[in-house]
Formats: sequence, structure tokens, C-alpha cells
Amino acid sequence: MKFRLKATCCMIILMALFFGAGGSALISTTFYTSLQQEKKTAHESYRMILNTLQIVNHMDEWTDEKDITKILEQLSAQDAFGAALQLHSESGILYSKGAVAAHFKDLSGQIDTSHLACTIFSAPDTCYYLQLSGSFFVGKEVYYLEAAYNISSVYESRTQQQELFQQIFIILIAACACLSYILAFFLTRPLARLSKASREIACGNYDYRSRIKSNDEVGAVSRDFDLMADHLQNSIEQLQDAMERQNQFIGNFTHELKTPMTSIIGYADLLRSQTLSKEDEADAAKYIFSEGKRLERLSLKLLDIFVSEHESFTLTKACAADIITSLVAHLKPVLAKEQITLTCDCEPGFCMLDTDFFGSLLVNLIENARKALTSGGMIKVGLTMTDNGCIVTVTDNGSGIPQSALAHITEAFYRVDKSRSRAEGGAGLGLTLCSEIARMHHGSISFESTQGCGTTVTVVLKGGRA
Amino acid sequence: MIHILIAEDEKPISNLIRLSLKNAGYLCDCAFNGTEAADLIETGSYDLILLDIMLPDIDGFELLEYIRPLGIPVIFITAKDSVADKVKGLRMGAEDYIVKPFEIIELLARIDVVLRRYHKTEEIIYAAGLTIDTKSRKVTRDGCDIALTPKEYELLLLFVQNPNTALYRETIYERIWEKEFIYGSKTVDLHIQRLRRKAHLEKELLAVNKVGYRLEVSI
Repeated sequence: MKFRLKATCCMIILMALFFGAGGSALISTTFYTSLQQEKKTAHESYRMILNTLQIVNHMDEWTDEKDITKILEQLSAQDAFGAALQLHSESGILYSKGAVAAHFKDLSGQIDTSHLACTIFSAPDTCYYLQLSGSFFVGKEVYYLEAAYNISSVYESRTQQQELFQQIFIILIAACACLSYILAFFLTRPLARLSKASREIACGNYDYRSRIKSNDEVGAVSRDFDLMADHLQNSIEQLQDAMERQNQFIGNFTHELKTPMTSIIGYADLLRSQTLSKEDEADAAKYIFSEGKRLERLSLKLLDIFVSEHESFTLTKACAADIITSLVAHLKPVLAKEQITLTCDCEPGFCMLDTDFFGSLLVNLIENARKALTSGGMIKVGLTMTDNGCIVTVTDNGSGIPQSALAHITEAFYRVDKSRSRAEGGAGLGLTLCSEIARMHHGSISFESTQGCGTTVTVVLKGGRA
Repeated sequence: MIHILIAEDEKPISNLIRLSLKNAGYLCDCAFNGTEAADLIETGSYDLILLDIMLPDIDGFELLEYIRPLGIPVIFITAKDSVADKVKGLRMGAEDYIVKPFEIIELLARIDVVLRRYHKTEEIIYAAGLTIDTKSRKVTRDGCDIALTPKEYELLLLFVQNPNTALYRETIYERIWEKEFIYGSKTVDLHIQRLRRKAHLEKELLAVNKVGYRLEVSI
């Protein structure tokens, strides 16, 4: 059963209960009051007759019943009493007037001279009568006087009121049902929206929101729901992103792996199954060697990345300036052969570093700078100490990186110039490793480059000061 | 002579294919990027193009759009072995699809199938004194029919397609029987001995010590 139907039923039941009880009470009270009024009037009338009879009796003693009958006839002629009048003694009916007299009830057991009996009976003509019975003495003899008053009007008005009440009751209940259904409909409408939103999200439409703008509880639930949906959507998007990156990585990785493997297997097969010219034979051997080397580099770099991603590493107190200076001294003569001048400007001081990975970071960055300098130039390594670590900058005046590529250069296997990078033996993993190293030092890596003017790589390390 | 264009940016692989195709008697040109490939397609007339999907400048799919109207058959060479890529390539009109790492013998077989489909190869092959009608699968020597079983015929064709090449027992077994070679199996030797006798190839079809067999043909 729907909530709005439940609410409507409850309202109808409550309404019927209270309105019915109230209406019935009102009708009964009115009826009772009118009946009392009628009784009072009837009593007065009856008393008058009885008093008249007694007064007459006092003035001159009756000797027989005929005198009494006569007086009654006189009184009845005045029409001072109700529908019927009957006088009887122990011996029988003395006087009777009105058709209803035949239906009088025998109340003689309940009455005495000082007390009246009163009852209501209904005649076959569907009228209601109030019967009053009393007694009086004439001499030693007891006479009973019974009078009936038509009180049908009271009953009729009650019936009328009841009918009217029934009609009003039905109309009111119908109106109440309609109104409460509409009310319940408007109250539950936001719930329907909320339920639709839940279903939409369950079906994968993560953009759907309930957006109920009200300040009540339902509004609060809606806001909470939407907030939950926001977080859910974020997490799902992140998961999908991660999955996409992983797929991309696997796709690139297999490509990187399969290309050298095809060459190695192919040349080896060629060598074993065919007699090649000396020249071709040398070529084949050269390619097997170089492609084998390429696989080795790839596996080593990957190993480094996996280690930096998964293995525990130790940050130890080290002098970054010393590491840089010794590395620069080592590389300087090698680079000088390619007309590249390598300089460094280091601020002394100790900070927390993983020295192996820090060295690897420097080698990779200097190597990248060297690749950007095709016809000589300069590479400058800078080091400044900060409160919680150090900042390393590597600047070159080489070819620079295109703006469109900047966002992707830390992605695994991404290459700005695929063929040249391969020719120089790059695996496409250097900067991926660098950004991993920065990450394990709680830092970040950023690039600033102008095509044709050079590149500055800034690595912020936050391993802490020692 | 069959003229093949190799569009492959990896120099080692490109060179490997070129060497193998040259030995199999094809004439080859190499292109190392999309633009170069497009230029060569425009100027030269090729019977077949071996196309790498991940080419610099213009990728394989784009090049295929360009090649299709020319009616030159294309075999895709790629490291991507996802079904979606395969379907895309084949639907776009590539004749075949070969995934790295591949064996040269497989590439040669596929090239042969595609060329035959396009009637680029001669239907009748003359080798080692034999006449092989590839259409009716009939082998004759000096006008006399030589009755060969299907396996023997396939064996002969394999040697003829790879002349002067030492074919390893496992390679032969995997290509002809399409099952993994079980070490020590004599199936290949038995069939080759019978083929040698039937086709009188005792002087040409030589055993290579501990390795397999080679068909010596003077080119």
C-alpha cells in the first residue's frame, strides 16, 4: 500500500471517528433536551387536570363517577390536554377519549397519590406518545388518570437531524479523503523524486541528482543523498581513471616489450636458418644486441619504478650538495665531449633523502637535458634548502618541450618525439621514475619550458630537514 | 617480381622483414614514418603493403583510408593484440593482421596467402625441376604426375616458399600439423623421406644436421 493511500485511510478513519462521535453526541443532547421540555409541558398539563379534579372534589364531594366524567369532558372540550385521556378505577374504565387510549400501558404498580409514572410508547400510526399516569382518592376509592401527549415532533426532528448529519458526514468524509490524498501526494512527491534518483544512480546514471529544495526533513535527506552521490561519482571516476591509466600502461608496456622481442627472435631465427652475407650477419648481431640492451634498460627502469612504488625505502640524513657536486664532477668530462657545459650552484645543508633514488633522479634529469641539447649548450643544476627539505632545479637551453606535451611527460612510455627517443635508447620511463621519486620524498615535480629556448625542471623534496 | 612496401618505424624490425623478404625473393622498399609511406605509395606501384598501426606522423588506420581506393592489399603489423583493434583493422579493409612478436615464417605464409588471393603470384611454380600447380594442387616432373598426400603437398609448398632456408623440425611441425612439436617425434622426418622419394628431391631436399631440412635451389 502506498504511503499516500495509508495517510488518506488514517485521515478518513480519524475524521469519521471524531466527527461521528461529536455529531451523535450533539444530536442526542438536542433530543434529550427537547424531550425534557416536552415532558415538562406534559407534566404541567397533567398536573393542571389533576389539580382541577382535586379542587372540584374538595369543593363538593362527588358521589358517583358521572360527575367526574362530566368534568373531564368539560376539560377535554377545552383541549387543554394531549392526544388521549383515560380515567379508571379498580372496577374499570370510567372515561376514555382519543384513539391512542387503547395502547396505554399499565403503570399502576409504579404509582401512588404523590408520585407520577411516566413512559413513552409508540402507537401503530408510528407516532410517539408520552404517557403520564397518576392516582387520586375520591373518598376511599382510588382513581387512576392516564394522559397521552404526542411527542412525535421530537423524534421527527431527531430523525431529520440524523439524516442531515449523514449527508454532511458523507460529504465531509469525501472532501477529507480528497484533501488528505492531495496533501499526502504533495508530501510524498519529493520521496518519489528521491526514489527515482536512487534508481537512476543504480542504473549507472551517476550525474543524476534529486535536488529537492525544501527546508524540511525530506530536503535534508535529499541534500545528504546528493552529497553521497557526488562522492560516489568522484570515487567511480577516480577508479575509472586509474583503470584507464592502467590499461594504457599495459598497452604501452606490451608494445615496448614486443617490439624488441620481435627483432631479437626474428634476427636469431634468420641467423640460425639462413646463410646470410657477412654484412647482414653483422647487422643481425648488432640488432640482437641493441634490442636486448633495450629490454634490459626497460626492465631495470620498471624495477626502479616498482621498487619506488611498493617497497619500503629509507630517508637518511644526507648532504644533497655533496651528492650533486660529485655527480657533476663525474659527468662533466663526458658531457664536455658533446660541447655541453655542466655547472652547479648548490646551497650547503643536510636534509632527509634516499641517496640512491636522489642520484637516480639527478642522472635522469641531466640525461633528459642532454637529449634536448642536440648541438651543444649548457646545463645548470641548482639546489636551495627549504624548511622541510630542498628544491633541485635542472635548467638547459635546448629545444624545449611543446606545451601540449607538458601534461603527459610523466606518464609511463610517453615520448614527445618517439623515433628520436628510441634512437637515443630511451625507454620512456625516466620522468615517470622522477615523479615517483619526488612523490616518495612527499614532494612534486614541475616543468617550465619554452620551445627553442630551453626547459627548467623543478623538483621539490619535502623529506624533512636534519 | 613482387614489390612490397614495409611501413614500419622500428628500424630493427623493418630491416628484419626486408632481409627475410629479400631471401624469399621479394623486392622491398622501407618507409619509417607515415609521410614517407604515403610518398612511396604515390610514386611506386606495390603489390602488397605491410603496415604498422603505430606509425609516426600518419598512423596506420589513416594510411589505410588512403590506400584502400588504390586496391593494394594491406597486412597490418602491430603490437596491439586487442580484439577491438583487430576488428577495426579488418573492417577497414586490411587483408590480414599479424601481431608482434611474430615469426618470419608466419609472416611469409600470410604474405603468400594474401598475394595468391589477389592473383599476384604465379599459379604455377617451377622449382627444383618440379612444376607445382597451386590451383589444382597438382605436382608434375617432366610431364609425369607425382601423387602426394595433402600433408606432403603442404610440406613441399613450405620448402618451395622458403628456399635455401633451414627449416627446423618444430617449425615445420607447427606450420603443417598446427600442433605443438613433441621433442623426439619422427613424424616430420617420415613425411620428408617419403616426399623426397616420391618427388625425386634426394639432391635438393637436404637434411641439416640436428636441425631440420633445407631445400637448395639455385636462384
